[in-house]
Amino acid sequence: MVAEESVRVVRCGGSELNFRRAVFSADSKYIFCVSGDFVKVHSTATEECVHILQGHRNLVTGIQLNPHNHLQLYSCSFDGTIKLWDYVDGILIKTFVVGHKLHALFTVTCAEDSVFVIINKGKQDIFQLVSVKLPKSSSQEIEAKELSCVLDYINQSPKCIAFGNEGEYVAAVRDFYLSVYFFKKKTTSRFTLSSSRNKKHAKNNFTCVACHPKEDCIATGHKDGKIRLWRNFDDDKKYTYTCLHWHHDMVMDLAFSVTGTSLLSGGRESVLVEWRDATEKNKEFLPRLGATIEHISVSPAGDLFCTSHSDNKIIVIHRNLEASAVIQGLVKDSNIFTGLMVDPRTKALVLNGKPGHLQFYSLQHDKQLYNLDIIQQEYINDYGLIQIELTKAAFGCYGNWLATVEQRQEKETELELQMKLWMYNKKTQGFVLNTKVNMPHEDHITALCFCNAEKSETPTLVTASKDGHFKVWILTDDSDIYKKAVAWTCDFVGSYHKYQATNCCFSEDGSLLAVSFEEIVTIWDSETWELKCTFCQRAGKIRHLCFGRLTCSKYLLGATENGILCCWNLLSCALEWSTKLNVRVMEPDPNSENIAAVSQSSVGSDLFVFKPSEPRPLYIQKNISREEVQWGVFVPRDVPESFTSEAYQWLNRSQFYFLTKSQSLLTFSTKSPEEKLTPTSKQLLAEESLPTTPFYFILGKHREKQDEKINKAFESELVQLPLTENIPAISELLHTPAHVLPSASLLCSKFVNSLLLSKETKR
Amino acid sequence: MGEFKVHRVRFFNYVPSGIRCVAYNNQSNRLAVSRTDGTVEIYNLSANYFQEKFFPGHESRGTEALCWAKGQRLFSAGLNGEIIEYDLQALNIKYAIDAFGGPIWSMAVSPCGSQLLVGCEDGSVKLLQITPDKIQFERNFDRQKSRILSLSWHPSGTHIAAGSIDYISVFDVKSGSAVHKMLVDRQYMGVSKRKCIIWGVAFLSDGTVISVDSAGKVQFWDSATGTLVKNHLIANADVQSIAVSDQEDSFVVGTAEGTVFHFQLVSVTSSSSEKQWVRTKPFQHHTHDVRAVAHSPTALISGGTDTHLVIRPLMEKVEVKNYDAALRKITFPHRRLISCSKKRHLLLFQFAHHLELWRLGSTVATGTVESMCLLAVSPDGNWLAASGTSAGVHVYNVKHLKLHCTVPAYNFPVTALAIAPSTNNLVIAHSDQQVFEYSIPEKKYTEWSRTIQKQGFHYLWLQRDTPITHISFHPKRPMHILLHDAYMFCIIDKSLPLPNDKTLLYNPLPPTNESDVIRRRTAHAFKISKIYKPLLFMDLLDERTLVAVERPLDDIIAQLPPPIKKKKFGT
Repeated sequence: MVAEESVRVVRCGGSELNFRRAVFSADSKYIFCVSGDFVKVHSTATEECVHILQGHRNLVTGIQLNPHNHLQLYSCSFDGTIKLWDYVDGILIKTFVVGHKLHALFTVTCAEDSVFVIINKGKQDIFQLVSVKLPKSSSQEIEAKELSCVLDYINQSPKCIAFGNEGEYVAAVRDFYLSVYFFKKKTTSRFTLSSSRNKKHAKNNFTCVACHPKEDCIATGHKDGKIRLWRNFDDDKKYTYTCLHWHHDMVMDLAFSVTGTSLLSGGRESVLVEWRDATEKNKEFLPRLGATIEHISVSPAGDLFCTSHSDNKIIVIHRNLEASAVIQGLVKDSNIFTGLMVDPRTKALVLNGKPGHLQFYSLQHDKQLYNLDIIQQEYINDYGLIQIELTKAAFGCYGNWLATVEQRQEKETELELQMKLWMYNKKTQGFVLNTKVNMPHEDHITALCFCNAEKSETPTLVTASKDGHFKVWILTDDSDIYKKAVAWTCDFVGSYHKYQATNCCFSEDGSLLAVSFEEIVTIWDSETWELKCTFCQRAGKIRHLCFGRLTCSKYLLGATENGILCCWNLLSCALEWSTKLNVRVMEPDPNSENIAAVSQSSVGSDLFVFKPSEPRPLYIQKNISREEVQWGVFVPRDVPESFTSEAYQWLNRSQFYFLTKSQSLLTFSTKSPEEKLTPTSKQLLAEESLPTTPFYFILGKHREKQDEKINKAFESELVQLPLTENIPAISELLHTPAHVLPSASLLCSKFVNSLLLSKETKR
Repeated sequence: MGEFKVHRVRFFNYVPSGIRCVAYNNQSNRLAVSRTDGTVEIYNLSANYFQEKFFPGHESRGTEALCWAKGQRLFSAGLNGEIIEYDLQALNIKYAIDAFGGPIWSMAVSPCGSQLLVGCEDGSVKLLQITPDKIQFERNFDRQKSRILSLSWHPSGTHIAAGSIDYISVFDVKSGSAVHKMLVDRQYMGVSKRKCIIWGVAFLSDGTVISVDSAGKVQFWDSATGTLVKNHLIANADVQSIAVSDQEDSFVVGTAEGTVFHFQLVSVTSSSSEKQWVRTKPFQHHTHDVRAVAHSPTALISGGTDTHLVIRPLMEKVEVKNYDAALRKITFPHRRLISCSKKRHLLLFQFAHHLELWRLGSTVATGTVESMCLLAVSPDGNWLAASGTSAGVHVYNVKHLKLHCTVPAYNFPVTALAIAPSTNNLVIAHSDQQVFEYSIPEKKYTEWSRTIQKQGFHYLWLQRDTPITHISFHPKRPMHILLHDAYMFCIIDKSLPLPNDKTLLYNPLPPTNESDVIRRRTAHAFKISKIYKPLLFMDLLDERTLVAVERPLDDIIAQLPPPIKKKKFGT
């Protein structure tokens, strides 16, 4: 590496996919969604991310297909540019610099060379719909400064603007009125509903608007759950509307089908409602979609719908109201109690997801791998209801075991506590509930840790609780007469002067267990469960506790509530050093001696990376986030980086991720990790779209089926056929345009050779 | 205003009958309403919706159909099989003719107004010719299998549509034969009902037939081909009535759930000429079945089992947003049903078919059938004031038995009359809420009356819904006039200044803590009390005692059959 870029904090995945309506490609093969500063292109069939369109330097706020070329996509962003993309190849074609912060984008077929955007001029909350003339030019970056205002004082949400009858009029809603601007007549009609002053109509506010594609009909959604269908709105006097009412809460979004025969609506009920013929009695439902429907969009081909949900998910729905694909991002709408963990198997980030679930989130692919239902009870969404919370979780034994704790406290004295232990099942590739312990402790469990030592024979789990005890749980095989089933039982209960146990932690080799009792740290021998020694610094309750690793395994670190970070030497049983640092997050790197600590001050959060053995920190980054950092974790890298600079060496083997209070997931990098995301499915998809020629049968799915047959035939003797995309000859053949290929006779021998099994591939 | 001892009477067990038919006459702007007990009422929509005429009903004469014919003639037909014509001048039944087809379910006047069509129980449709003084049977159409429940003429008069059970027939008027028979789907939300009754049909000039039926459907048929064009499922219960506007750009249907739906013909896009029927607004002003609807050029009129007549103006047709654009709900008759004997403390209640005499504090006695007219006798017995159906008021000298004078004619009908005891002033209330005071001895309006006419009444006074039904006087205070309508009771003190539009008309009961100065400054001639409602009658028994007869709406609703149960969200 020549000149290393400075390490900076970057947003890393987990962006909102539901920020704006998703857009379908003209052939319904792709679906586009905004995701932070990027636009993601997903395949509607496989849910896989095909391309990430990168180039905007701020949040992308709107995407639309180019109405004059359906293989191109417009996007607009807060960075003040409109970009035109070729989404098939993922190439940026043009950038139009508008200059204002753009809040939404609309395209209309009849407007030859202009698009419509929402900007705010002057005051903070006054938004305008303006048309932007996109000048024709061959250069890559073009200034587009020709703006003309269409509607003033509108709502900033793009859901409140809709173009109708091929761009003849535009409807905008805000508060209690609907305004319709006719482009030909250049007039605006305004229709007002009785406002909140009248108690009966208190929730008449408009929330969204949609225009019928064929008829002069505007559908508006309202806060009280009503949908109004407006007609004759070109006449200020003769206008009329009809009401459709099913939703009991606010209508979040509306969309007409392509032919206009049905209207789709959704809201907090998580039910997609299809109103056929716009009649109240003729409606169909798609219920149990999991979370509030935020947006609805319809594919131009008319065969697919999609709904964006508040839990950062996009569901692709078939015309007959069957969900066909789910694109799930990082779920963000719940309190994180479990903190950030890394699943040792999948290297996925694990944290609270949907209520009662643990989500496994792949940082590499920026998508949710799966949800593990921990509480296994139907979630009842009702205000004021006290729910069961998943409070603690820990992985043990290289991901073979997962321990979770859930609690529910209705009153001070009525605590419901449950600990569950889950075993990884290789066959089903998932966690299966093994042991359920009711009330493992008398009071809240404060910490949970597995003994992850390589040499330990029996898996061991320690729980610390406010009731003053810590309990050691071990796996035994006595649960049935055949001695086949295994279950967890309590092996040892320890306490120290009735103090509340606040933290627990195993040393790297598993020989020592450290348990903190308020201000005192106790060290226990894990063989005999004898108390070895105690440390007491009288510097406040211990908030974090961890052992050093590798060469620093003789050190124990503790951070207290009074803002003292202490390091004890376990060999001398003495305090090695201490410093004043208000530590919020302390995480050891599993691959090195490094420990990361995030401190909180009034200005922001600072990061310190240090080795316990050395008095000076390796790396300090001030003000990593303005908000409070809540959780952090080191994630081992698949491919180690090679930073040579001393300050960045701590990033070589692991990467530090942290989560702020507003639930943005951030990391340190020289470049954004999303830039490194590998669109794995790109190649695969290209192959899927191949026509079914004889070549296809040799190379494509047909071959895979043969594989299966062979696998069946030689169950033990596995024959690994070379993967087609790994053979350079084939990929060259397939991905080179036909007109530049050499003649077939030249390629033939190379191609046939490549299909032959080489010796190495045989096992 | 003073304090009174009040007899608050709530034992007047009056239940108005449900509305069965309404018929609107465009030329005279009059509305005929028939009730289930056979009563027919005529409302003058120009005169502030005043019920100006009234034909008492009879149990044996339940009306099923009501219509206006050419020359302001009103016909009704009923289940007794008779067609009745009413004499609107003499306020009696001109004649009744048996149609000889069993009970009559439907009747329709031809577009030119000279022919009458009736649909009978035996499945026959009979054409009758309206002659200047009678009607004459002309011929029968092809007889159908089941009763004819609804009829509609094509505006050109060449075809008719007849709704029966499970099908609609289209007849050619010339030949009298059925041209098409359109079968209606019995299916109701996937469940097959036993029968599908066509409660109403409407024939439009473009050949479209609109039908409403017991399965909750509004269907559009092409009469040329006999095919179904469009289907609107609008209710879970019967759709019982339909009325189309004269321009054929909107129609209204009433359902058994009490909802009235408005359909409008709107253009598909502003550029194209293609138009489609769209259900627009639902109105829920009724609790029970809406048995009858009518469509005037500016309003939707509906009535049903819950006895209310509701007039809902169409906002887009109203030129100015004044008080005429407000919704009207007429529940009680615009007549006085109660008389009171001051000396003997007796109350006389007038019911449809009997009278009840109550002694205040004692029990019941019954009398015989009586009809009434607007008359007022002066307490000294010298003068008699009478108002006919036309607006004029005549004053007769009783002693000489001759006409004394005629009060100058006024456009609006008289709603109440009374002669003051000491001054022999005649107080007249009109349906447009104007009140006049006419001095009989001097044969001219009094000074006070002239003053108030010059200054005009308070705008809130003119915006009241119900007419004044009774006027009386305070025996000791000649300056006081007592009058009331269904929602308020008022004492006019002629000695006090008149209110103008800026003053508060409905002042609350004078609070005791206010000083006399303020009270005097804010005081005006109209002392209004709204504590009794709906108020059917109020009078002074003596100078310190009032009697007030109320009829709470809840008591009436409690005596009606239960409405169709509808699931309410959240229960």
